[in-house]
Amino acid sequence: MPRLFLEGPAGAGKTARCIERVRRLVEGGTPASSILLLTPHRSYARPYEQAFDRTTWQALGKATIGGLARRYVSLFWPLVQQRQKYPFPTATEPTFLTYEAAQYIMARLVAPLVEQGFFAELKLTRHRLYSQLLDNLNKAAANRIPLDELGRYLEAARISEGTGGGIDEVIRTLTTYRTYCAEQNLVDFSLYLELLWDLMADEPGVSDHLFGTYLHLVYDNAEEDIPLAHDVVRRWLGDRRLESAVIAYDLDAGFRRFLAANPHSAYELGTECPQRERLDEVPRVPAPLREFGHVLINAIAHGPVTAPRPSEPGEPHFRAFSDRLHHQMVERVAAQVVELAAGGSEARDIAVISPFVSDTLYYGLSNRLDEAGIDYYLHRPSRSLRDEPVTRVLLTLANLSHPQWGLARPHPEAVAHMLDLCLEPADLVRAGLLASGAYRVLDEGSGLEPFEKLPAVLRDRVTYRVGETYERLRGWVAAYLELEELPIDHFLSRLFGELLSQPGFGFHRDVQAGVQVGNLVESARSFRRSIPHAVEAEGGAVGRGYVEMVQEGVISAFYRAGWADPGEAVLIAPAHTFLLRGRSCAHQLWLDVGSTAWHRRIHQPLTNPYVLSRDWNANEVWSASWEARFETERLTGMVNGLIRRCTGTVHLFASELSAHGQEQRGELLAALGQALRQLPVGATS
Amino acid sequence: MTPLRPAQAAILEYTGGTMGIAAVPGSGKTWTLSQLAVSLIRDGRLQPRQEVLIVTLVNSAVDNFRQRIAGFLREEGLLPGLGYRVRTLHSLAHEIVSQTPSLAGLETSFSVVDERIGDAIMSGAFSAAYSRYERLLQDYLIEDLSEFKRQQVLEQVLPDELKRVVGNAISHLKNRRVTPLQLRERITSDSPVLVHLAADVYERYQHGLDTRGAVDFGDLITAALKVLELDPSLAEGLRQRWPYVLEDEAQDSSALQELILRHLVGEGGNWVRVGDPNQAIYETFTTAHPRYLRQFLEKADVKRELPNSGRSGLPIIELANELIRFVREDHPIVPMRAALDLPLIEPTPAGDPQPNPEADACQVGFDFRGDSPEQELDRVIASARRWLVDHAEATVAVLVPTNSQAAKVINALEEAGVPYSDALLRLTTSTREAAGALSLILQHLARPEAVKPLLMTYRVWHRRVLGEAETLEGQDRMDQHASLLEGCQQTELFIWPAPGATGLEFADEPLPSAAADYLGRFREQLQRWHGLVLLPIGELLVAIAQDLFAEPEKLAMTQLFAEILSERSQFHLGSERRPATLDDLRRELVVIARDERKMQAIETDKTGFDPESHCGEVVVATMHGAKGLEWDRVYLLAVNDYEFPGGHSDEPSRSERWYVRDRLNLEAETMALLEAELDQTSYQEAVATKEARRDYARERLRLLYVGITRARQELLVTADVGPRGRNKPAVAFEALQTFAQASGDSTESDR
Repeated sequence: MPRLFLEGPAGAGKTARCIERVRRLVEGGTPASSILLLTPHRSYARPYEQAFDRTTWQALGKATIGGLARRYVSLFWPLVQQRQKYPFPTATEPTFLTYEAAQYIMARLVAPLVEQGFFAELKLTRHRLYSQLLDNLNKAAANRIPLDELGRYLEAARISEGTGGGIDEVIRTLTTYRTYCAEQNLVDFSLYLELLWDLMADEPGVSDHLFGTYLHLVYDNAEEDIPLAHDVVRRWLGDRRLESAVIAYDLDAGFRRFLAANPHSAYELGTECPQRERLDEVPRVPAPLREFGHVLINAIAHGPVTAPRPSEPGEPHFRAFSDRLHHQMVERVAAQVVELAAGGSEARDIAVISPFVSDTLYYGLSNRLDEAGIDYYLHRPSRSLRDEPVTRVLLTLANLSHPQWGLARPHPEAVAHMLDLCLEPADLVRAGLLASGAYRVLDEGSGLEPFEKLPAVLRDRVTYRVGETYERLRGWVAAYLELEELPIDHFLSRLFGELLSQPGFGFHRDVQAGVQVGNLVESARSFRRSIPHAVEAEGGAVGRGYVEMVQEGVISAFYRAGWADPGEAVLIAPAHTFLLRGRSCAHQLWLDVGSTAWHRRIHQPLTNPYVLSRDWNANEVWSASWEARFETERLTGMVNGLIRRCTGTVHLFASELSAHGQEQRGELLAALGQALRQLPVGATS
Repeated sequence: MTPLRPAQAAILEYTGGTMGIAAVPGSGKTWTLSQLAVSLIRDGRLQPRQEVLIVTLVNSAVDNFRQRIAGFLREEGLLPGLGYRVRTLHSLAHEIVSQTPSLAGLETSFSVVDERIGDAIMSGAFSAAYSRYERLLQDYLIEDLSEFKRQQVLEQVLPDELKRVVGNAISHLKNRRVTPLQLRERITSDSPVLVHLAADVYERYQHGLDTRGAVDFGDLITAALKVLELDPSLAEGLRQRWPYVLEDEAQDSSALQELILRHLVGEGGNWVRVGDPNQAIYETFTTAHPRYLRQFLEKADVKRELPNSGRSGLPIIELANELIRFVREDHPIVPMRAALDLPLIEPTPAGDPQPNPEADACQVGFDFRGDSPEQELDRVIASARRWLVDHAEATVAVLVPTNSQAAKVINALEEAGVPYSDALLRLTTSTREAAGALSLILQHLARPEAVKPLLMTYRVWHRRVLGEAETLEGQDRMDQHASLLEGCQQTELFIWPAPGATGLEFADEPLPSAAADYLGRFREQLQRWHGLVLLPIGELLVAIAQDLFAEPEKLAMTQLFAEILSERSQFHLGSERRPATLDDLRRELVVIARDERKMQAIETDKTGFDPESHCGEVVVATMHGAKGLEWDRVYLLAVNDYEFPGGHSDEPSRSERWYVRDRLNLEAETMALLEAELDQTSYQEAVATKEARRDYARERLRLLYVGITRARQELLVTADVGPRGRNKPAVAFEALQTFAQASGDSTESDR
């Protein structure tokens, strides 16, 4: 029974080997449906999708551990109930909560506790409070830490010292949430992971089903997955029914630790595999660049540093630039991209990488690249949905159409902007005039008055053409107000389909807007679907909850589209996202080299991904020296990962001052200074 | 390298341990400290990646240090940028907290609210609390108020005053590291109303910050201390990185600053503190105090002095020294004698590269003729105007005690047509211009139908995008086009003309083709901007700025505005929870443009004010703002017993309000009440008011000292009788005048 553990650095050809293995199996007559491709995230399956024809791809079993858990918990729900670990009420199927829906539920339960004085000293916006509470549950489940042991870990993470209130409040809140979910038949991510493991461990029928369905396992990027997934795979490897397994492990990765990924427990899977193979590096990273990487990493890790050999004659493999001001740096980066493109580099061979991509950075870059006619593709998973103009317009209309929600009514300016964008013949001035004459901030009704009620002078100025389209919009809203409230996604979808995409309206023929609305509708639908009616009846409209969450910036914009192949375009992405995309390119432009965001994690006062891990000895207390150790690890990992994915030149850009005007002196810059024996100076390479 | 004075050479011998340095004005503290940093770097006392940490008071000093050190390193053939880090206490605290924010209950993206946002949160907290205490607070008002006046005071005047008082009390509580909860636990229903008010507002204010994931400057300092205390390994790591701590302006150090640095330095660590206790002018109602430096000087391994100053001529040095002597020995109010300290200023030794100006060229004058402040000002302006005629290459400053007086000086100079600079009073011109231009465009975008903002937008566009307003001809053209546009009462017809229309129909007669061309291009620009209104505010501003500005400084400032406004747009500061509108954001920019919001300016290369670049014009500043600077001629105005009280315990001071009974200083009394409550000690009304008068008087003596020591050659000190005609020259004025007359340096009045 072959069990192969493939290890190697990025780019050594592990995924190619896995693909080859699947291909041989399929060609040898194995039904694709009996092969399971397990990856930590859907995006890791993309190379497989590209490698196979549609039929094979569709037949192939594909899963993430979360997807698997959800499927099996649903399939074996009666068993879950019989076990009575949680007081699930009925025999009907549970409702699976999306992350946003779980936050929504958490918000409703936490609010009264906060009123009682819980989390009094915490300095967090409310939605961050909810998400961090949930993170604790998710990380505990990923590591199979039971809820009653969670407190010890939080103690070790020194959660109580930051919050003032102590661990007790966290645990009591989480227990309240769990109990509520069980009573309402709700299952969130953490719970379905936990239930999957229970079923696998105690119910032979469940393992039988899984092991009987898939006879071959391909587990790629195991290092980016959670320990619970590794546990499931370990158990599976020991089962005789599994005819073959191949596990691919990237030696230089582990970039999802903040999401509870655990490279160590993945690596231990190797001991369960009789066959181990180490793929050697494909020599595509130029030697001087590789050497520069070593020097830089040594400097980061406070090791001995020798000066890297200067680049060989011809194109240098690393170059560093520094400007005083942030926007000067952005200009320089844009100019560099333009120069590379002019010099014959393909757009897809250029990546602009920054610790994070802010609005101003993106705008500054995109503007210049637009001018130069260079295509680019932004992959920024964290952008908030509310920042999309279309979203804002639709939310304004949703608010106007649902006075019963009791939300603060839209400001006349928001209505004017909505009218400007929605009514095709309107413009900002006429829309403003129209809003000033026809919109009343009222508690009842939409507040939109008939056009004919406007004074004649104003009607003339707005023009009757605009008035006519406005009347159609007003009529639609008025008719809607007569009906019973629709689910939010239906509402948005009908609003767009019946009205805004029709001739005369601003989104007619706007494909981009159509895509964005599609995203919004999908996001609203999955939110709404995971809030059961009972909860809704008790707590008021889910639509309102959704709109509020979008307005607070909780819901991100890119649901699925972000991971698509950008094709012939310059990729602009946060460093972390770039690494997860697994793409190599000839020119990497690293921005904001002085930023501390290169090495610093996102600190969250209520949780800690390093401590909430089975690797952590819960008697050990978290401290700044651990922090420093992990920061070094993270930065060396990131630098190494980036350089491994560079086949030509790394261009480093720093600005003395950040966009906020603060001096930038992060660890990466300091190490670079040490490695190059100087800080990058203006415009020299 | 410039040859060293013996006192400087002694300091540069430092290799480790604690060293305290008492310096005098103009003795080259920054220069010496920068040299010390360089010698530590040069002599190989640092491991790779280690740095000398320099802590100073204000941002402009940070840049000053950076540039000096970089320059010295270059002179030594070393690489600038490596081996040192310069921080203010706040930026240092930010850096410390950012290492492990969760220990302080914060997440990575925590925001630090500046004074303006803090004030908005405070206003909300205060107005929610005030009405509950209004009735009891009446007890603090004087009795003989008419009902009308009483109502007015209760509704407007008192709330504003108390908001300020409570705001300062909250900073004080934070400095004492008392949380709202701890305060709440200490007070009872019997506690005085001011304590209840403070506790109530504190709770609400802090809640307002917490739920926004934000901290104010006070929180930032206490959070830094908290994480250092909770996690010793943090300080250990920082000590590893910063084996040397050099602290400038240590006379303004507070207890918390000292504690934080103590953690960074550690037991037996390397810490150099430089300061001049006589220039401690930021102490009133803060916890800063020169005693921390004094105590350090006593205990340090090594104590040094920087007594030589080449700045002023001998007559001025003697006058400053006389002030020290007079205060210490002869001040009629004994508690005042602690206000100033030794050492006295010594001139530079012979052969020094920075020789003192010749005594013959010096002049000291005192002038009091019973003038009103206006008359005093007129006299000073006339004098400055005469002087400038013969001294186009020299520098001169008019220094006054307060900002409002400075504004009056500016107005008077403007009216008199005397060239002046207000650069020390305001943000950089380019910051104001950038904010001003952007706010005008936002105003148009918020009200595109209004004609006036459209005209203003045209002017901005003409000036910035075309760059044509530089010439008279361009200016004329701009005026001409703007007045043409004024005829367009329906802006939509111009900006978005109906199909088939030219959009220029509003003009009575056909426009000249050049004008039509300009307006057409302007329209294209407007249409582009109109298309951007739904972008997030940050993107909107950056997009507009890229069309408007070419100067790096303005673009950089726009980015900073964008970040501030993005944050602001999410803060929901109003009572309704709605996103900020364009008009809200425009108002924020107006505040910046009007200079009502303290913000750090981003400069392209050099920061800091250079008096030498203002030859031939009168620089106007407050005495506080003039610290660290020098001019050939200096006027000190309003040195009367109101601005510089003598320290009698029954002398009224500026913090006492006319409507408060028994001339109580509400701020001082509130602090004292809180102290009594927290320390369980007794409270006696009016004691704190009296003590505050003395503290204030002492600080004003030091302020006078700072003012005097700004002059290189000529110093003219004047006094007035105050706005109500009741004041007389300050005690110190008279003493110094007598001294100057006796030593023959003085002229009775300015020639």
